Amino acid sequence: MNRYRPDSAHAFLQQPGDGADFRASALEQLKERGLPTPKLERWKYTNLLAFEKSGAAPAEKARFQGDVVRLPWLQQNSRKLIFVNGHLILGDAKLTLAGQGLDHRPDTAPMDDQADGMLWALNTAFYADGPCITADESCSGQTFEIIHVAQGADAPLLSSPRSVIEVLPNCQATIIEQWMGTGTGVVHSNHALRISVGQNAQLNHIRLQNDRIDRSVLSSTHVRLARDARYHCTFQTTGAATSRQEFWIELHGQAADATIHGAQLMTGKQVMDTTILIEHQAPNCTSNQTIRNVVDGHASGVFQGKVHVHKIAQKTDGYQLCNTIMLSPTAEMNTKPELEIYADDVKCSHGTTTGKLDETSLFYLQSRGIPQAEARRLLLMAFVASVFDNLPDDIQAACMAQTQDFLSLIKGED
Amino acid sequence: MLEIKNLQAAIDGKDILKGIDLTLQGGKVHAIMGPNGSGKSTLSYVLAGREEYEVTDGSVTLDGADVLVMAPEERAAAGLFLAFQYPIEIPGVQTTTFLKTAVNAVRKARGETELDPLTFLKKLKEKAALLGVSDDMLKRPLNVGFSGGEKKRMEILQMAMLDPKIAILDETDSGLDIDALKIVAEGVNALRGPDKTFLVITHYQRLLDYIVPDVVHVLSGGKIVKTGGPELAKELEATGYAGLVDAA
Repeated sequence: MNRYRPDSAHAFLQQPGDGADFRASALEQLKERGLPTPKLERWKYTNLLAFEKSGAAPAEKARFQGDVVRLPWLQQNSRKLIFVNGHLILGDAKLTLAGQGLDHRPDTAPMDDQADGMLWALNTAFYADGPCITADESCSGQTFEIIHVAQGADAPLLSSPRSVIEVLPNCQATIIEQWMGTGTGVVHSNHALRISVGQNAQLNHIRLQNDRIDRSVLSSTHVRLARDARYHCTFQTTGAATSRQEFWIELHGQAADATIHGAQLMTGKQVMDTTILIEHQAPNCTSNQTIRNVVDGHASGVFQGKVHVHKIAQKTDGYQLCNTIMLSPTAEMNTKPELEIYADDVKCSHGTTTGKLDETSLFYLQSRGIPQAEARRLLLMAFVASVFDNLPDDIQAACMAQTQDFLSLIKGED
Repeated sequence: MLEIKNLQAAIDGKDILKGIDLTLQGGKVHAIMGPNGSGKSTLSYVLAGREEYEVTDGSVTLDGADVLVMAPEERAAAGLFLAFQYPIEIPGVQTTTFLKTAVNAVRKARGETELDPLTFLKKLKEKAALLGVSDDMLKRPLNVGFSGGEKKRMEILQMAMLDPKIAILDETDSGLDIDALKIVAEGVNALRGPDKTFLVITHYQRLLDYIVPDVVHVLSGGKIVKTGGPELAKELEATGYAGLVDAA
């Protein structure tokens, strides 16, 4: 039996929306097309079966069972937001909560020009809340820290935060997203994030995902960049059973720049997928994708990165590199770099490497008395650390601590 | 004392070492010379414990302990050190961090207390100054972007920091100009002492003008074919290896 039949009804679709038209039409689309299946080219390596079969129901607003002050905030002076299962939790007065700029307007713009925008539609059908931030002159340079807590309950839940981030012309903002989980019980997260960066504006976007191992964390990020705008994203993924993050980045104005640096660190049976589409729609734009993966145990990593250079986008400079270290013979890595170029004066490069930890380097360190396990740890830390080079020290330290935690779990060949 | 008896080793099924007998007495400098392909580097790798080489026969003991059953890091802790012919670049690992990790790992394995950061830094600066290793080099990732001479000096600095009983220098002179060679040789000579043994592997006599050996061995076809005093090295420089190789 084909479990991926597009007309198969699944639990999500049995949930009534709140009746708003845009939700009804999203549900309609979902019913028609179903969730993405491995039959779709872009979903060949990651299946959503566990997600789909979990019967998760849209999460209601719930009381946060933890202590908001003790959450792993990274910066003292940031404006802080906490979402539990996709609902805003107004926390302790000791925190500077960014109530200002929060908006609950339905974000209804369609995303169906992407063939597999069904996760976006699923989010549209069920989202209740999410950070809605407009960085204008009054808060330019500000850091917004957003912690998304997936809090388990008795029955499986679906969390659907919707984020809308707008950086106005000539402004600059930093968004730090942390995804974490508490409580037993399954919570699947399906996040949709719409970002627009205005002329000569800059958004630094940091995403750390360390949710519990029995969950799915899915996200669709759509970024649109105006002339001279810069979007710099750095991510680290270590959590969840299935993690898929999609980026759809439109370099819409001249001389815009998109940079994505990220690390996916996986062990056990984790699946981690980063799928990026960068569209060079204007001349003189630059894009850079640098991804590093460490794959241990029976885990399976995916990197699909496509650079699409439109005919008008002369003088494009597109760069893409994906390096993977496999720590066990049962680990799996699928990398698919793609270039689609219609302009004739461009510079585009891509490269991928997949291999074991370098034996010679390992021997060199061991010959200096460093025990093998420690030598491996040093080399892997160094391998991962390079993607965090441009981050502020405190965030870099958090990334390295998360890397450290991951490395304490790896099994290697045993 | 390092005792090598009938050591035979192969890589990828090809026999390289065909029965090496060598006893390195404490406090002495032994030189091993030999033509290309005679097994010099294989010997150094086998002694340091590189996995790709299969020891097919023979034994190696350090003060009576079986070296061949030890992991590379255990050999380092026991007091063996190999200065690599081609030191490896380790991107992302800062040289100082690496040195501290190595020194403390070895101290821990030897049952000594780990050095506190201040004592470590003091020792490092002292040794680094002797070898002309700059602060900048210590801040950079290990060997990354170092010149050939800088890499070799870094090897000797590691040796000085790890304080081995037996130091094997694998073609430490290769790729060095005369000034760098002198600095490296001075670094080695500064470490000479009654409890230090050196095995200097080289192709040329030149290095031995600066690190004067007590004993010279000639390695050819995977075997030691001749042993003599420092004059043997000079003799080889004049006549070449041809006569000896034929004799073997």
